[in-house]
Amino acid sequence: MGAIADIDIEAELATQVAAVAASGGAVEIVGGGSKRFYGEAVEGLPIEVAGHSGVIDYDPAELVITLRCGCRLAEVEALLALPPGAVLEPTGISDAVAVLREALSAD
Amino acid sequence: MSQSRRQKLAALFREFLPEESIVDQPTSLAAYECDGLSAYRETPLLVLLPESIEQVQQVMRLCHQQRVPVVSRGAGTSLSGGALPHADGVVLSLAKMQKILQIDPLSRLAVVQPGVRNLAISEAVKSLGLYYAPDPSSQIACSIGGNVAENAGGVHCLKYGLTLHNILALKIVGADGEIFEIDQRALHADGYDLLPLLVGSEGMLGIVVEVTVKLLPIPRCARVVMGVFDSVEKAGASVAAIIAEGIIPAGIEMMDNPAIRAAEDFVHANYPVDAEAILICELDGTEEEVGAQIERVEAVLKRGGASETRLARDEAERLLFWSGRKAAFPAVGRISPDYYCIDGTIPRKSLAAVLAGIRQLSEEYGLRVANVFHAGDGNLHPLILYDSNNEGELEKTEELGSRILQLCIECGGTITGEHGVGVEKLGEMCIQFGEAERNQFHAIRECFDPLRLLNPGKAIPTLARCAEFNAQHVHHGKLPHPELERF
Repeated sequence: MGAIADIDIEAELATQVAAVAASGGAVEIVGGGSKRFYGEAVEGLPIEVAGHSGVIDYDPAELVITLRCGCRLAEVEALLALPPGAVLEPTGISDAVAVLREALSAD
Repeated sequence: MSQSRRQKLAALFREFLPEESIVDQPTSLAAYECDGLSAYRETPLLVLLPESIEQVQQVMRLCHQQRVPVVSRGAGTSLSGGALPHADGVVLSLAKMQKILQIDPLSRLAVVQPGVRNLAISEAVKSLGLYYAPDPSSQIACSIGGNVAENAGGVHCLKYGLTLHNILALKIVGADGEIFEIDQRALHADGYDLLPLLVGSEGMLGIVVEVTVKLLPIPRCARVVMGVFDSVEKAGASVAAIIAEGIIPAGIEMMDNPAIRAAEDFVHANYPVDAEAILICELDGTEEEVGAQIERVEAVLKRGGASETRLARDEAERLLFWSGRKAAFPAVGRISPDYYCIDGTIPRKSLAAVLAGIRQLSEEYGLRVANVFHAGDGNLHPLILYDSNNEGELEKTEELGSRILQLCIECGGTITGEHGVGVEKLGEMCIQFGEAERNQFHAIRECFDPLRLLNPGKAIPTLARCAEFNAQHVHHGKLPHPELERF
């Protein structure tokens, strides 16, 4: 559906988490990683969910879309044909953070 | 025995509550024996009406110490028995706490005590051009504390959300008498968002003693269009088509033929009495926005097979269109000795199929059903018409109600949209949720109320209750809906 890649790695993610849980370790869930620079470093095995992508269910009449967690908001917005930031507010924050990062790195 | 326990307990409360805040006489207690679901009745040990947060805390500390169950009560308009008393417990009425503490037009919020009536908030801020959006049909009487407990909805929640989406902060007295506050005024507050957990918790996690509500500007313009249909299926499909068009009306209400006739006989709103269904669709916003959208809605209705569309020409006609819908429940009350209002929610796309299913069930049980409901958000309110004087008819009605809710679950819906579970839908909770989920509900509850004194026996069924429910519903050695997962 749309331009969003349909890749289901649920079983793989479950195996990774189960292995860490069995060894009593910790995980760091990583999506787009856009806030990874912020705050203290997280100790734990990175579980990369960005590759878990795709639209599971989308019916405009229900005003609900069900997505795998790695979908990028920009892709979702394109699918919904909404003006950026109109509904999915976190995009605006990501943009602001990107600008902030540039400002910090330039300093 | 209960009379001596009653007097002993009353004496303890008299140490800190004024005489007029304690109800202990059987004749006066009778007024509290039920809420809006009057088929269930129970006399409590005492009714307490504290006037301040400090008094609520004192009541809770004493109940905690004495292990007395507490059922909190707002205006008592619950339709699911949420405020049904406990025979060995007290009813804690918040009715005396009805002050509006603060109105902040710049931040568009108001801080109110739990006993303030829903409509009283909008009336108090009307001169500022503001209002409180959730509008349950009981809004003239129901209180904001009860709205929070049940996560009340209303005609306009399609666009403006439920109580949850219009609450900013809560002050709560816990089971042990301690105060805790949840504040979501900042958009990105740290920590877990507990507001959705507390709103709709049916008096089982704490006593709401202060509510900060969101206020919205009164829309500059509101217009209504009515679509007339010769089949409920076409009307149902048109609801989904309007939303899919990208339009979010303030509300879309649907009435079927029995409801149209009852309403027309009662208020003479000039409804088409031969229609199988009508849709009443309200749009609000600026003149330009509403003008453009109403034309698109009219086009969608016509494409969906409406035999006629009617645009309210002025405010008087807009109110006339609404008058029939708003009077639908009492109108149905005129044509039947009793009626039972069911509350289920389904995906919009299933409206037509579920309405057809309800009609079949109605014929199977030989009981008339009138449908008048919030079609826009898929929230059904079938009214089952019955006569409680006929032996066994109430039981038959309850069984039909339960079958309708099971139909909602089969279509991917839920057993309540806005009335809550209370005592009414404990059985259906066993179908909606498996044992693992119900155990999680109990575990969450124990975090807040380890002694299980707050509204015990409501909302979350015990294992025994579900075993009993399932046993009753095994027909011919087979459970209904074997496709549903049961743990």
